Amino acid sequence: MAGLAVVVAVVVVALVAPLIAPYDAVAQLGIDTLKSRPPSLAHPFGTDPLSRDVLSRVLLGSRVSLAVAALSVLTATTLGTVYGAVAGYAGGRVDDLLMRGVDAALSIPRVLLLITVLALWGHVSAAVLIVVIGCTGWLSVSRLVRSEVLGLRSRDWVTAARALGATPARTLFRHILPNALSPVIVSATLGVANVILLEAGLSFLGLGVQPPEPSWGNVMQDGADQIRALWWMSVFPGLAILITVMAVNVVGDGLRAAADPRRRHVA
Amino acid sequence: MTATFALIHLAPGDPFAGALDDPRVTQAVRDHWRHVYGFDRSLPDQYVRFVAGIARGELGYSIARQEPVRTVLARAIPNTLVLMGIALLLSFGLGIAIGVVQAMRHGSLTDRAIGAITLAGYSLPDFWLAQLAILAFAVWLPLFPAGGVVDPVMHPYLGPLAAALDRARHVVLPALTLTVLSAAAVARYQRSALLDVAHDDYLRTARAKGLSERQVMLRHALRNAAAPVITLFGLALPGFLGGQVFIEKVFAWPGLGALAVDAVATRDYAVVVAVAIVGSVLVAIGSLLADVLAALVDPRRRTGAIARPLPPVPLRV
Amino acid sequence: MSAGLATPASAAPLLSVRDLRTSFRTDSGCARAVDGVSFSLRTGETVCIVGESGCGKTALALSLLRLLPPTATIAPGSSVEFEGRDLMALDASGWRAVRGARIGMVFQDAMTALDPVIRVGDQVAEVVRIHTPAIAPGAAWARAVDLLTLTGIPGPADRAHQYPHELSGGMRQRVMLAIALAMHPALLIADEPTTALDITVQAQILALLGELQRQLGMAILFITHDLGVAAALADRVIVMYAGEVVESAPAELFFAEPHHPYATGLLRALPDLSHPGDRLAVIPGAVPSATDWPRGCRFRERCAFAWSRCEAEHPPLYAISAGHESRCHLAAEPGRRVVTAASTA
Repeated sequence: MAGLAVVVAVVVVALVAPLIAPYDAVAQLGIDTLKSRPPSLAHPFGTDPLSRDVLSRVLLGSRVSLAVAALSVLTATTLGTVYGAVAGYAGGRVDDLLMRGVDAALSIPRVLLLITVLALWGHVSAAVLIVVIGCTGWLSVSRLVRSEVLGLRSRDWVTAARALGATPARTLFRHILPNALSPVIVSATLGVANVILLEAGLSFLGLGVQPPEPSWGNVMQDGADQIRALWWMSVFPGLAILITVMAVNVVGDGLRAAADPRRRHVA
Repeated sequence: MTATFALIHLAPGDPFAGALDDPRVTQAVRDHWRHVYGFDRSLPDQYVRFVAGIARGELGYSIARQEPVRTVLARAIPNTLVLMGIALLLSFGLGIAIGVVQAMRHGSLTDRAIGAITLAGYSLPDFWLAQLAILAFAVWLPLFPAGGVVDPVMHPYLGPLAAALDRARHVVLPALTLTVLSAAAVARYQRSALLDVAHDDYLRTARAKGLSERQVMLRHALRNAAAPVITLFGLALPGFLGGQVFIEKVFAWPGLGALAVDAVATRDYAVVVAVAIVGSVLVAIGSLLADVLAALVDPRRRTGAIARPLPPVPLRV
Repeated sequence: MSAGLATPASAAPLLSVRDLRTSFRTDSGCARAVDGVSFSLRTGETVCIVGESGCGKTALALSLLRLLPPTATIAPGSSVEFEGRDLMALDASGWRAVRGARIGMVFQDAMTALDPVIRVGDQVAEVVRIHTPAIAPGAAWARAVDLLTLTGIPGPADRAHQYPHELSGGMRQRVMLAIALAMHPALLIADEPTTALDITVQAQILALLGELQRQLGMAILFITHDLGVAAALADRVIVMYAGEVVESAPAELFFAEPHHPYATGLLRALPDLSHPGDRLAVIPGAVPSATDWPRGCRFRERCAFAWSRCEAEHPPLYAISAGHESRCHLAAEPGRRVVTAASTA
């Protein structure tokens, strides 16, 4: 419950960020004295080397971070569900072939794949990020869905639906997939936590959302080379990420406990 | 491999984009260099050359570093393996111990408190923890060096013992950071796997034999929970390697991860591809090792008769 | 509640259970699985506890060795005396000295009761090592092989190196027996040890059990739902229903003159080979829920003889004859048994 409350709070903050941010997140305050300052009353999170208010940038950054996470997980889950459902429902050699491909692709470390692709992309917008993260994230979803579908395929009600003349597509989407939904929702929730971290990491390497548009990762990147002096540029956005990711993980654990009562202890 | 090639060539830009896009460079010069490095050939032709090269074990030439990719990799791989090896050993030891303590006190305050800590460890941005480690133990409390493998100035002058100590001091922070991150994951797997077997009948048999709770846990529960933990970690290995990329970058640890990031910045195709390939090979070796180990601890896996599904612990992939 | 079963004054009982009450916390309330059970067992004696699933017989067996899950509690008034000691007062280390050494236990499904990732020889040797700390590993292994030989496993030296999933069901149950008997216990508790086995293997295991009992002189508490098995083994039969003992009698007496309507019902439900073609009798209805035992007699709703007294008054254990007790008001008003009890052949 606490996890859910925090998640809701973070989402609300992201939605109203432009209204509550004390400064313009992109504006350089005091161009004559371009300097990063430690936290003060006027700037609780300090300012960055371009004299921008870090609190405002963190608040605004949440929009990009959350939007990228939510939309890319949606993309990945949709792709993975369709792929895994087809593989699991088809079974046999089709399944073998499809899943062999997924296994091979999964052995490439995702971070290496992403930095390669993003670096070559040049200017990365949030949309590109969503597509690229979404298109590399469906592999594990497809594995999950496939094993669920494989298990449900031979259940009585499925056989009954088929006996009554339902088409394969109808059987799959009306009778099997709805029953495979709860693990998919759990995995999507935990996927959101994972992508928030991933996006932050990529932006931190300068491969994510491009400045001046703020995201949690690139705010930290702005201070990365002077981390010894500008600790506030790392600590505050990092805390924002930690709290959000932890809350999402708590919600995910809770959902899983609800979806799988036999394994309630895992949460 | 094919995927790597396809993705690289789908993306706009090539290694010369930076240097050769300068308007003062004439188109003739651009075309010359593109020709020298083979970028003017058709894509299928480039693909065939790319695959053939890799099949011969030729990883190409690093344009940015002006040396064969093989040489660059040969320098980076040992550093990565050292860091990875230390972190894996420590995180398994620590993670298993934490998971055992939690499972033995399942539901207690201790279990919940540790659970909150491991969840936090599991939710930490890798690079942020690395930065905090530098701030805390290299800047505010200057106990350890903040980066690199050895002291860049003094190392050549140190005696063998002092040199070894210098190396050890440099590995502490990156290794501990990686350990904290993956020990949290291992602890979560371990606890969940132990609780999955907690109601199994053979544990009751063990108690009926007169074993103490501790003996039941260490001799029977832990052994039965080991295979799923190993398998899960095999699956989580790509994520582990991904985390190492950030740690190496922040600590300026000259391994594969930092190499990849730097090569990306200079659009050094050959190096990027080579690192991705080596990374995949490492993962493949790790998965194979995990399968072998899991079969060693659980004889049923040797015949393919796996008794239960894996615990549903999410992986950081 | 009632005094226990009569035991000859000459032999002090090996095991004496008084008013044992075990309950489980469940989602639907507190389940009183064992609800005031008393009985005793002499050295070398075989007692069969018979009942349907859900009657509390397994909970009873687990209570005796305190092997219950954490959701279970044993009520403070319960007493279990074994070899003159009060087991309920034992601490953890006291229990460890009893379990596996003085009391051995065999479980229903040897497939799940044996550790799947440890060689069966090591599983047998483990109990030897635990209770004989000074023994050399090699000696413990040799002893394990001897025990596997004793339980009739062919090629024991080779089988000891195998894992449970590589053995047949009958062999796994023999391994369980080897573990339970390793320290020559005074009491063996066997919880439906043959239920999961083929009928021929079942007969082999029962024969082996009888033979080992003669060799080792131990007492056996045998839990089963199968009256045929009880007939083959038991010196005394105790019938449990809804957490209580409803009838207790020496075996010959029980099979000749069962008293409780539930017991007669069980016996009539046995196939009778002397009258092939007869339809088997069934007891209508099902065991009531342990979270909510009915008032009065717990068998009342399934009983053909039930009358008002059965609803008003919970029946005590009536003494029918020496050593024969029944928890049925018919013992007080025998004239009400209007329907003659079916012959039990």
